[in-house]
Amino acid sequence: MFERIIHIVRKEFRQMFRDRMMRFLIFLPPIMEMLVFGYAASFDVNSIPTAILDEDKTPASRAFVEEFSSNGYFNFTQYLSSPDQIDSLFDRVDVTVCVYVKKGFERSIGSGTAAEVLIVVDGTDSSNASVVVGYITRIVNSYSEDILLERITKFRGVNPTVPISANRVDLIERTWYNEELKSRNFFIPGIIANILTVVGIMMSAMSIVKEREIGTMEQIIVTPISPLELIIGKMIPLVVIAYIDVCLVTAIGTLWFGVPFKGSFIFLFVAVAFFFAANLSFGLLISTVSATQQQAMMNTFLYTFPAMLFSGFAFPIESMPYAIVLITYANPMRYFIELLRGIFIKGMGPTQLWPSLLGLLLISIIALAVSVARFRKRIA
Amino acid sequence: MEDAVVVKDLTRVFGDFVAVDRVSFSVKRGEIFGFLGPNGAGKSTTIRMLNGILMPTSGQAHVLGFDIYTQVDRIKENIGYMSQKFSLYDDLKVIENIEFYGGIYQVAKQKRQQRYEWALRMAGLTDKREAITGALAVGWKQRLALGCALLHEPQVLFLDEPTSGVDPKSRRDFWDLIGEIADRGTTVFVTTHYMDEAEHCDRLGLIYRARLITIGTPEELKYGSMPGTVVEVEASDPVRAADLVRNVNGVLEAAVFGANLHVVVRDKKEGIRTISRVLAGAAIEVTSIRPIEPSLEDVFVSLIRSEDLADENGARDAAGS
Ligand SMILES: Nc1ncnc2c1ncn2[C@@H]1O[C@H](COP(=O)(O)OP(=O)(O)O)[C@@H](O)[C@H]1O
Ligand SMILES: [Mg+2]
Repeated sequence: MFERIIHIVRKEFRQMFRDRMMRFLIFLPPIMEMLVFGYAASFDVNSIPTAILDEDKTPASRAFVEEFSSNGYFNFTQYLSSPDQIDSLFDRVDVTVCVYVKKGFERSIGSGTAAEVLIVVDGTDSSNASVVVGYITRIVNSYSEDILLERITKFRGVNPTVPISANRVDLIERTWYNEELKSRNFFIPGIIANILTVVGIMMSAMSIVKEREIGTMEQIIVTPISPLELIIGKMIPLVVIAYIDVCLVTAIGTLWFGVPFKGSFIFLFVAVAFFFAANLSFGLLISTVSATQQQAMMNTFLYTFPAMLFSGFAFPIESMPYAIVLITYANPMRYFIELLRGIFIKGMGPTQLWPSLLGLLLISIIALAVSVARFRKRIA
Repeated sequence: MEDAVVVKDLTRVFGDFVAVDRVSFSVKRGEIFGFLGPNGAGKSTTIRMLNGILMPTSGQAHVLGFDIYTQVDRIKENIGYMSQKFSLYDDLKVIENIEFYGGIYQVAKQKRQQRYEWALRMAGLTDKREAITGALAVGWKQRLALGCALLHEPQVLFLDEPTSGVDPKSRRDFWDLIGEIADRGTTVFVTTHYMDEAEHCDRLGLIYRARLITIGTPEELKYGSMPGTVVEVEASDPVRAADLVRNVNGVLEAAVFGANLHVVVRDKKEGIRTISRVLAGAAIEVTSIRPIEPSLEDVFVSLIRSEDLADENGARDAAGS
């Protein structure tokens, strides 16, 4: 039995590496996806196009505006001369933020009364806007603090570098786990999930359907090899590729893009094994309902799209309607995204993440049972 | 010794379509058994049931004494099969295909190298072992497939239309090979829809519309199953001549074979006389008219015609009652 499996494995590797397209498919997508998500499709909020309207034109107002440009998040693209220009600017989506310093800013600060500043934020993209507002709050707070400190010093004649106010309240927003709110850190687990889906479902389904299409399946069935041996032999090379791809993405992500990796590599490999088992079962299932390789590819995409959508990869599951949330429990990708985020960002281990492993295990067993039953029938 | 293949009332139904209908026959050890029939007759379906690819709907069959329902594994170890579709990997090298099939057939380690060389030699591909299989000509691919099916030295070899799509020269070479294999004691079960290939077989079964119509050696079939004598007529207008003589009393059958006319008559002398008279009356010039030994093709055409006729009558009777 073992020997026959080895022969299948050897043949699969030979075919895989002889096919230029296949060589491409194995190593290109992980690298491409990493680069695309790492650079181009960054969902981080920076270089926010910002318009400035400074009616006060005093050293104090200039210093205030300077606070925005110095941190790198805001990019001054427009300098306005009148408040009337603001509306049209937002209508044309030229800017996301407008900072409007009204006349009398310096005077108000000097006299100790409230200085007025109007900050307009485009709220079309609410998650984006909330991040921007967070930045602004921080900047404004730190500016007011500075002024406060200055005044206290002036009144009491104390060196400002010495902290003096015990009752000062710091408002520092802190997002847990992903402190810099870097979307990269969120997307890399998604890339791993996506690649393992392509390798595990599409490649396995296509590899079986291809044999049926070219007629070699019939030839193999009349040899003493059993369907189980055949399937195992076909899956082993895919498992190898899956782990190579996982290592590749993890290495590029952590070493090149500086994505944190707080968990254990061994547990990552365990999680991959569970998820990949579910994918291979799905691939087997798809192979039993597809007559041609093209159909297998189409069916994989038909599965992948909703699976990605309802995995929590791009949209948080908590904000989905309850009925959809229930469906996500049948989605292996949901558990895997949980596992990966847990491992990468939170440094969690099996004690916290075992429910996700259990979910994957149940899905794999059910899918495998159904597909093996169907595979037996379909083989003829 | 028992027969290599014994089939009894084997039937396979797809939905409500009967692909193989109560077929019974047996194949002796060491013989070349030809399974002849037009496309869609049920040849592949029969072979696939005997190989354990397809489950029969009903009936019995044993291959080398093993039951096709319960002992498929034993059967698989002892048979070789070449399916109708070319079934090697085009993207593997010649030697890689051989190694693969040798591996999954588990050819004994100490024999392996020698068997691989044998297969290469037999296929005439010793110099091309490193060639990509897809680049070979069809005839060579076919011989390679045959070599791969024989690596484990099976006792029975099933060949499903091995020569379809192969040029005439390669077809002849291929049949020579089959002859050599049978000489070494392997039983060969081969299907074909080429009538001329039937002469290469020791025994033949004719399958038509899911039913086995006749079975026997080529000689038995030629002389035993013809309802009359075949008369070859060389005439100036064979097509028109065929139409004319077909309706004549005492003529069972008339078909155009190349430039000539083959007429099956119930009585030799009587028939020749009538044909001459009818054709002369129609001003068709007859160069020669003589009784000939029937070819297998004559036999099959005749058998198929009478089968169709029986079917029509059956249908008419059924409709009339
Ligand atoms: N899997 C199948 N499902 C439905 N019909 C089939 C199947 N396999 C064969 N048939 C039908 O059975 C008939 C006999 O097919 P086959 O045995 O392949 O004929 P042959 O090999 O003599 O050309 C054909 O009409 C074919 O369409
Ligand atoms: Mg056929």
